[in-house]
Amino acid sequence: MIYEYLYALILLGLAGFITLAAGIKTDSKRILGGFTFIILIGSFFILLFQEKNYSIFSLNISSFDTYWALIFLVSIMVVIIPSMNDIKKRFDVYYALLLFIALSMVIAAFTYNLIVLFVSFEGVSIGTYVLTAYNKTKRNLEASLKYFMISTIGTSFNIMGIAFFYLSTRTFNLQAVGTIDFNKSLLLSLVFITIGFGFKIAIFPMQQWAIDTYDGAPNSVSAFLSTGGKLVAYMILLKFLFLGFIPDYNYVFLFFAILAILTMTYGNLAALMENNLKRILGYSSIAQAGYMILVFALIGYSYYPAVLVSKEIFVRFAIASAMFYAVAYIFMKAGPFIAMSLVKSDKVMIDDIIGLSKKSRWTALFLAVMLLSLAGVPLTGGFIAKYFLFFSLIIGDLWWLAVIAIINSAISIFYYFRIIIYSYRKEGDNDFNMAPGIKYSVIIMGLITLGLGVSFALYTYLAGIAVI
Amino acid sequence: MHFRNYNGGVIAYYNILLAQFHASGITINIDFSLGLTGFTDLLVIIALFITIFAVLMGGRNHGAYFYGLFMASGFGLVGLFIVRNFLFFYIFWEVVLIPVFFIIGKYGTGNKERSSLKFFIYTHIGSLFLLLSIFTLSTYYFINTGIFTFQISDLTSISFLDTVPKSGFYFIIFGFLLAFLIKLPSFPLHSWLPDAYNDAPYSGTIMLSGGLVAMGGYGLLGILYPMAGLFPRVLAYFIILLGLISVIYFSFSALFQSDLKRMAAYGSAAEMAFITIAFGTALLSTGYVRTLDLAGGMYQIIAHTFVAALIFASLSMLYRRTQTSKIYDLGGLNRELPVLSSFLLIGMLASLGLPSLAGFIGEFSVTISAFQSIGLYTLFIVLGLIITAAFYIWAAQRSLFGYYNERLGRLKDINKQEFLILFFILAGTIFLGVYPTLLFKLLTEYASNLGGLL
Repeated sequence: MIYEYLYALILLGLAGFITLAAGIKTDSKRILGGFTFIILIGSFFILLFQEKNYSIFSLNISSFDTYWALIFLVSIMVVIIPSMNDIKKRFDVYYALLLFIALSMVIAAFTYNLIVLFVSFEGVSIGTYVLTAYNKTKRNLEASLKYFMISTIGTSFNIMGIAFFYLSTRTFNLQAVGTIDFNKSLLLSLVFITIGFGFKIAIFPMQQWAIDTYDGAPNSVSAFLSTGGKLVAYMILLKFLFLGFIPDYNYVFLFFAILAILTMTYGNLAALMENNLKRILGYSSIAQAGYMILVFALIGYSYYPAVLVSKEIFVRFAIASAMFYAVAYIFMKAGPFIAMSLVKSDKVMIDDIIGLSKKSRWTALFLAVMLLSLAGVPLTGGFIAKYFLFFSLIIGDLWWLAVIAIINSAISIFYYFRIIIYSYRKEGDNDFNMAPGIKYSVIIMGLITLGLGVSFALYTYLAGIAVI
Repeated sequence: MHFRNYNGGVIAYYNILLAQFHASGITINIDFSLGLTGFTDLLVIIALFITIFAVLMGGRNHGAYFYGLFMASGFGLVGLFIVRNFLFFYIFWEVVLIPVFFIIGKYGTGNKERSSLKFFIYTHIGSLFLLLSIFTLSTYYFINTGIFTFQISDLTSISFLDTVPKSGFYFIIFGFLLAFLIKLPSFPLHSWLPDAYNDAPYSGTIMLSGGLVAMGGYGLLGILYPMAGLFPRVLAYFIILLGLISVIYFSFSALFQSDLKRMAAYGSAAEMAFITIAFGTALLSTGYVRTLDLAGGMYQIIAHTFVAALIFASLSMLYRRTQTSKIYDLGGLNRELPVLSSFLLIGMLASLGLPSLAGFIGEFSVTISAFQSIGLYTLFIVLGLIITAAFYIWAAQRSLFGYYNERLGRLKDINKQEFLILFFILAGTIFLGVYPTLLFKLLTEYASNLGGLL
């Protein structure tokens, strides 16, 4: 039966409606959250074990796409349990929305049709507008409004970009694009689409909404926005850039290299002067986006003749490092955001975290692990991710870019370590919200970050499947 | 291992293939390989010793966290010395760093948070350039052979390095040198040292001076020297210049310190400058002189560990009694603490290179072999030695001898446990000073098999 490849999607969609319907009877966060979690785990395993290399409708199920679908599901899973503490009521709609977002993300991972990509991406966006405002406090509403306004601009850029793309290639299907003449309209479409999805990734000139939204949203929603919401746009851009057109145009490389440099430098420098902890994490996620879009620059660069190895190998390494970065990023970025729920006040300043190690040694330790991972210190997932990213840069003879990235990563030490130092200070009598859901989420995510730090085999596996 | 029949090279070797990727003409090998040389087995031994000394000096009022951090940094040190793969070399290099950052930041005194951050950032910048150099090496290896590997034996073989373009090779040398000279530390890259040594708890200072500094020395003599065959000659002069400046500058800085701990920190840095000099002059010399030079440098690393441990352990016990380490607050301690001040005095004498104590062997070998290659410029080393002698003797005179500072009140001399700790370190120091052949033979066998400047 041909529909057996859609079981995971059908399961997610049905479960979303079931959760909504169950809301009539119950508003128990344990039942609804547990149900959602089980459904996500179920679809995770269905996707993991189902046969790869199959096309149905406009969906394409390959190892590469399945990998992205899996990590999107993971990015939702990590916020299910922490959100039981952040969200006050109406859990049915909340979890149903998460399931619909998961559905959209999985579709986005599997499709190569720009229209379907656009619609599924809007599915993620609309869901997260609601999630951001879910507690209906003034801060939430303000954050949501800002997010909504800015995202709408991004959406119109996306539509425009897709239209320009159609003009030059006469198709919406990225895989059907054959050899194309590189013309002005295609370049325009690249710029428009980069800006449109760049709003979600928070690339430099489009970044300021992200700081305010991450600050104002409930903690677990911020965790999702800065991981899953960002990665889905990232993946779409990766697909688009790699398949949509052949960037044999020198400026594509420079365009993304300059964007990457600006993004990471801005994120790191702005984070240095910030005292609001969630805003620091917001800036840090901008800086991380800067490292990640180095991969786009690399794909653009692969058409230069100066590359030392063959183009295919070069791109394979670049995409494999992007895939590894994505999975490491989910845990190391969502974890600190979730840890912000430990602090009782709504607005988390850096002084509020003083004395965390006194209250709970393990939470402080694993929070430190995730921050070290963001800073790129060995034995953590973030190190391996950066390691292979920089390796891809060096293999393409891009020393200057690697040196800039490394200097940035050295700057970032200041603010990550500042948080660690504050959490290990002894003075002060801050009270922390040691709900087991948050505490154990932080510890487990820290452990996974450590585990990714020694999983070299994952990278070699990814290098094998990194062919779009 | 058969130390008696050792004749250079890697003794024990063990390799596990962790992950492999093989497709379309390329291979990615990620190995974990371990090996020992005549040099690194001694470094492993001193890494274990120094961890034990540091923990013993920690006192009893600390929790599991404290000991865990020391264990972690000891683990990193041992791993760093035995690993034969650049990927894990880098990982262990950083693994040592993080626990020490926490030791300074959590258990230190004074402006501890600033010092720990400064220490971390300095060394981390060095490490990042080390990482870049490692990448560059492996990338060139990959381009040449299609195999992506981090094995030290493959990446530092002269036949491979010969094929690396000159600009790439200079970049590689720059990254390695930067990382190792920061750790050592050498003259322009040392400003983390006084703060970190001063604000760390005494056990942390022992770990820093004995263990972490040995990393820099190992990097220069154990990792970088095997590649030395292709170094430009001017680099050797530059390194020697840095070493000479370091000796004199650190000794002068020590001369002007009013705090015994800070003074000992600069003294330790001045001692480590001999390793830089040994590295630089060994690049220029050949034959037996070069062997003597390298072996002297290596011996200096080992000796320095014991000497620094002796000084800082005695200072720690002194601080526990007097609650101060300012020279002008002390005075005449010999009256109240005869045993402890004797230990401290012997430590200082060992550090200034008194014959029959550990510090002499290395400094002497390095100085006489440096004379063969840089001639009369050796006088600068001698000048440094004289200043070193001056500040140690001066400090000893003002704090240990003379009139007793009555404001300190009655003090209780060290107990049996403390005596045993100091006695063992002292025994090591004297043993290394009077019977160097035991280790020197191993080191010369190892050093004579290393390549020189071609």
